[in-house]
Amino acid sequence: MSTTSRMTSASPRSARGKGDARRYSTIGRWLVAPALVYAIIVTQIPFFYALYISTFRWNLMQPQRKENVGLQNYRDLIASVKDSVLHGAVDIYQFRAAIVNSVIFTVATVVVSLVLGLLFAELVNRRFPGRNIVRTMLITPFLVMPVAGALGWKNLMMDPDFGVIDWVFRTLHLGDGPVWLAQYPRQSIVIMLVWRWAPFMMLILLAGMQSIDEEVREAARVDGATLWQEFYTITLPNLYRFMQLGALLGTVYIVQETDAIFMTTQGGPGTLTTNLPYLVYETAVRGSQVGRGAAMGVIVVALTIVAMTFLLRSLDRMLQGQYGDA
Amino acid sequence: MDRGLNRRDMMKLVSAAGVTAATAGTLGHVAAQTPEISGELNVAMVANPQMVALQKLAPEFQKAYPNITLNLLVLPENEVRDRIRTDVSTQAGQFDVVTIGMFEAADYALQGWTLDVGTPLSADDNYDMADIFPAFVSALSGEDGKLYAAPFYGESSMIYYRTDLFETAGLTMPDKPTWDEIEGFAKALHQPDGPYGIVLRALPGWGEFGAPLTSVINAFGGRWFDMDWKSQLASPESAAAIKFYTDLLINYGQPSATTSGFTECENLFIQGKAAMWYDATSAADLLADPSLNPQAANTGFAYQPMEKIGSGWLWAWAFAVEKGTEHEEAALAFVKWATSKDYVQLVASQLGWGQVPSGVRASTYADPGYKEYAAGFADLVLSIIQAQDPTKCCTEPVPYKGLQFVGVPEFVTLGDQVTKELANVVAGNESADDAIETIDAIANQWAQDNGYQ
Repeated sequence: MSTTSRMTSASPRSARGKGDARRYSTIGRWLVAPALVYAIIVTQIPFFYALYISTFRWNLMQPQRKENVGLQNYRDLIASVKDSVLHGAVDIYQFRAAIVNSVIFTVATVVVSLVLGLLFAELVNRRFPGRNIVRTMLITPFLVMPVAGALGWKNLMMDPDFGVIDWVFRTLHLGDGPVWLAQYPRQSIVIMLVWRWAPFMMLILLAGMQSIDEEVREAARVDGATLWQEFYTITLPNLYRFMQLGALLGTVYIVQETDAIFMTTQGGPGTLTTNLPYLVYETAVRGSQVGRGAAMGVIVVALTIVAMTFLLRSLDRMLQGQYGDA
Repeated sequence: MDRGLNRRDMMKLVSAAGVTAATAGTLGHVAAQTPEISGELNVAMVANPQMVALQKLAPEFQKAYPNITLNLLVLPENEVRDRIRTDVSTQAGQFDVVTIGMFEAADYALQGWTLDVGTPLSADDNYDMADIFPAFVSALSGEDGKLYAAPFYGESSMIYYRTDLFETAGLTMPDKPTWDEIEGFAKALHQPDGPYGIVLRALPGWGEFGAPLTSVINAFGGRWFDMDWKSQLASPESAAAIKFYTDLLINYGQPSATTSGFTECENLFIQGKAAMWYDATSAADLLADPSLNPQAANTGFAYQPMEKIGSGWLWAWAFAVEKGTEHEEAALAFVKWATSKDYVQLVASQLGWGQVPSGVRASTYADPGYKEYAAGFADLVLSIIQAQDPTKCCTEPVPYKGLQFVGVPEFVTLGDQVTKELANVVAGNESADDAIETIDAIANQWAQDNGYQ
């Protein structure tokens, strides 16, 4: 909006008075309308429909038993989490496990991807022979279809019989490698997600690095800064905005990841790899319990909004506290 | 000296292939063209080998029905099952014909989501409805006694084993082994780096891990629920069966068990990584084919293991016509073509006996060609399938139908959750006792939530 108003005020026509400005803002509103209508149709209508469905006990396979139960689905889910946390009861709807797993997968993947992405970006930001090839190779995992990537990890890499990792273990005489997807299911999923998302972080951070004025770096070097000092005092501070962006976008996307889970572990063993979207899929699509599934979805949205607000605020505070409004 | 084929040889080969194809075409063909039936058919199928074979033979259907446009959607089981279930239950009308299993057929019929295919099919004497095993007809029929899905191929369960490994170890597989004997063999033959003593499914999912597990629970005298829908998963019999299954896998099974479904187990067996494999009888046709299974000559077949009773298992993939279809006549023509005796002959002549949809028609087992191909297992499979009764799964009475599943529509959620929990035991992350306590609580809560208890 600020851009628009600045543009109008800068244009010579603004001299003609207030009427024009109003006319322009009306036109502006109309121009925004299609996007707004589209956004409402694809996001708000389904959301309100989900709210409506979530008040039913409704299994698609048993339409005659469909009944309005008010907020019972929410009460059941919240009670199951409360009982399992406070009284050690069985996590009957797997809801607590799914919340915990979602947090673990998202935080671990974002943090590790950012660190790796930073290293990769720093690497390909330097000139060396074959840089283009290395850059392309580093980006490739992000371009592989998630389902195909997950299948590759399951069958080509982590399989205890035919997998490359196990072969490396045996070749180096380290005995049998671990059975990744059974013994370390959470770690395995995080590895697959990091493989996919580190290149994404690299792209964002690389853009950030290239926006740093080469003269500043040069000046630092002339002043005798070591490589590490250059990285720590110049590159890193200038990248905070980009890291914030990467963390934000990454969180939004990674929270929704189900492909790797669907293709490898089907949410198991136990509930170790059931995250929220997978649980919603399992409940609503596979189990046909659309009422409870919708209630889960609504709770997820509420939690995500709270978490995002908190995350953004703390990031903002962190940036302002350390570097001001650079 | 190898000079390869010269041009004349090539011509001979090509013309010979042409003649074979032409004869096969006339042999296997469903009479003449039927151009009066038309329409666009959307068919959703599970990507099992038998369906993939059908996909290859689709041009033959088009020859018989030139005015029907046939769109085949063939996807892996988990994925297509969800899409079919959603499409049928919401009456979305994306598909005209769908593959459904014994689990869904009666429920869909009850809800009026699928059409009666039995009446039009039995009207054709050529179709020979009496040729289909009665257990499938009754399991795929609605409460009104009409057939709502035509069985394409059927299966029970059996033991596959490597005769060469048994011979080297001086072991003999009995005709009807018990689970205790199977455990003994597994122990004797197990190698930590393969071949493993036995491969079994433990990939979470009611239709994956759930099927063999439930059949073992049945064999040990256990059951999922008693007549009041109280969970019996923690009963001594069920618990013993669950512990047996998980221990068998932990001690003598494949390390990748928790990610192994039917396909992964089959791969392990074919790759020579398994001394035994307990799974669906439908794998026998493929395992006997040397071009598909390098171990074909050394593959032995045995009856499904017994304990108190046999490990019950009965399943059929069947074609159902969705009620909302606008091309009912074309849909019926397709279902009839795919489930007829002639189709079996067509597959045999074009693709070989290893790919025929077996397990459903008595005539397949009477065919000299099939008998010759399936000499090692045809009679065995026939006797296993004929011994299954989906209304009698367990030693104790149960309020549900189905052998390797609980035949109520809400079971999917329960089966998925229970198998996930038990996969954790197989993975070595949880004790069997803890897991049994958990699944018992889950099953009771499930029964309450769904109004059974």
